[in-house]
Amino acid sequence: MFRLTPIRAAIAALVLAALAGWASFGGYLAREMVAEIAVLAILALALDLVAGFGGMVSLAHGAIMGVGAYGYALANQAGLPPWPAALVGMAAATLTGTAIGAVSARLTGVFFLMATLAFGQMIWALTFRADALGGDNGLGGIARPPLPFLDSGDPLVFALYALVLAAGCLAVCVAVLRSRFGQRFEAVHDNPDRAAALGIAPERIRAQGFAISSMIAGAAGVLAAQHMQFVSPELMVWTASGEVLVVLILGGIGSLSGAVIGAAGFVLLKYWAADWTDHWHLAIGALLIVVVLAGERGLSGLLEGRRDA
Amino acid sequence: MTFEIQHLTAFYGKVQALHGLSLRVEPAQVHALLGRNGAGKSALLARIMGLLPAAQGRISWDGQDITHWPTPRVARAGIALVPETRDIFASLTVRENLTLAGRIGRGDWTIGRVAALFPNLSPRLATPAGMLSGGEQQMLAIGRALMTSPRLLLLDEPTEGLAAPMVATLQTALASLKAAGLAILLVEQNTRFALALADRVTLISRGATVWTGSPDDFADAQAVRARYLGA
Repeated sequence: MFRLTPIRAAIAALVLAALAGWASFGGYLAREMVAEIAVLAILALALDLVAGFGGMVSLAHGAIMGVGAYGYALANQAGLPPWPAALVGMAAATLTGTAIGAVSARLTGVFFLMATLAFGQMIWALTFRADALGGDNGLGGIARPPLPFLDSGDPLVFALYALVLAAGCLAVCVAVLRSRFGQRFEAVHDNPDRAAALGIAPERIRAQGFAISSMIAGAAGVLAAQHMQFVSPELMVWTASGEVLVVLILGGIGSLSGAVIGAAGFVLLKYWAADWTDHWHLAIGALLIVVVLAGERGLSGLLEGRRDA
Repeated sequence: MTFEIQHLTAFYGKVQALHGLSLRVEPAQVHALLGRNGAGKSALLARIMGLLPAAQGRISWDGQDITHWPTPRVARAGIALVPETRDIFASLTVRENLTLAGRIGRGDWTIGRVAALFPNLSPRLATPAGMLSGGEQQMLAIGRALMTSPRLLLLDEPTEGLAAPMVATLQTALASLKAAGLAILLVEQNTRFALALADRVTLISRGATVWTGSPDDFADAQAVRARYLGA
């Protein structure tokens, strides 16, 4: 059902390559921004999987990413080395997403949206109040993963590592969508009654898709924790989830390439506009309206041209 | 594997579509369901599949009460629906439409067997299903339903909008399915097509059964036909 058209693959590959080039030849700030873009791109890919291909617009993805980040931080503080701790973080996010999906997947439209918003806010509130999680202060002193022959403390090394991870998550999303499961997931979105009449249980497929997406959101959280070496409840506020949705619409929802180009565009625009004005949200808002009015296919759709893919 | 409906009612929202309808489909028989537009034929098929919520009455299949079963469970129990709107998944290829459901039921249908039944489909397995002609889409919709290895096939106006040669192909295919032991509940406006295949005919009007009999009796029952079909 999903076809990673050559032009979409090219858009994603070019953006990732350009970011790698920028990190290599740019300064410290460029490298930090590239890592930030990679985190946001992975989270946007996770959201695109459910929102773009399953019609499930989630406002819990910021919180799910946060669970991944806290899972990594806590496991690492408890003495687990970074790589196993990363698995703990992703597993925690997957479990959280499985629970949220099991309840929310039977809902659609605005009711699904509200359910995910409620779950996300509960996770945020629990984290905010939990002394064991550092409360409002968050948790610091989180390790970056050891890399063979390379120092992940070096901003350039870390930026490139983050981009490799983003490319890996893109590949996972493509594989998921191309699988039999991915076809069913889109069929359930396309026509739930028809899928059900073929013996496919729509709620179960939707819940499974949400769990897979949560695993990828968890990977974004682990990467965010490694990048900042610090986690706080800020990650989990619902506006963080809303921001990812903006990224996705800016880049082009339901294309995967849109998640990558949208994340890059969003972060670059944010820093560029912040140089000029404190009201950088205004600039993003204006661009968002232009993009939506221009045909709802985002930057990626714009580059693809008029051809329907 | 007898299929029986007793005094079934169903609602589209607040509008009552079925008013105590009863009928019975025997194994390896074609049961034609005739009636005017809005008589409740499509509502009946949706209710059987669990796509319309249960109200009163009872649906039994192979000795089990399936009245309240959710749709996927009905499908897995061997009942398959080919809707009037066909609803093929347009962006999937023909092959992907066929394999989507995976192996449910006994798995006695394969892509090869569907392609043998509908030779038009075999050169088009890699084609996006949205590019098929109307007749080919109808064959794909039937093939997709067969891939769930049903014992009872619910067909909603399969000849609608098809050219005469396609209708003939379809008639041959359905006859061979019946010969292979499949029970078919055939909803049709095309009375001649339905009577050519049917072992039993039921006429419904305003969501209730008004006449049941053999095709021969139906041919003789001019008064009934005039009243409920205008023919």
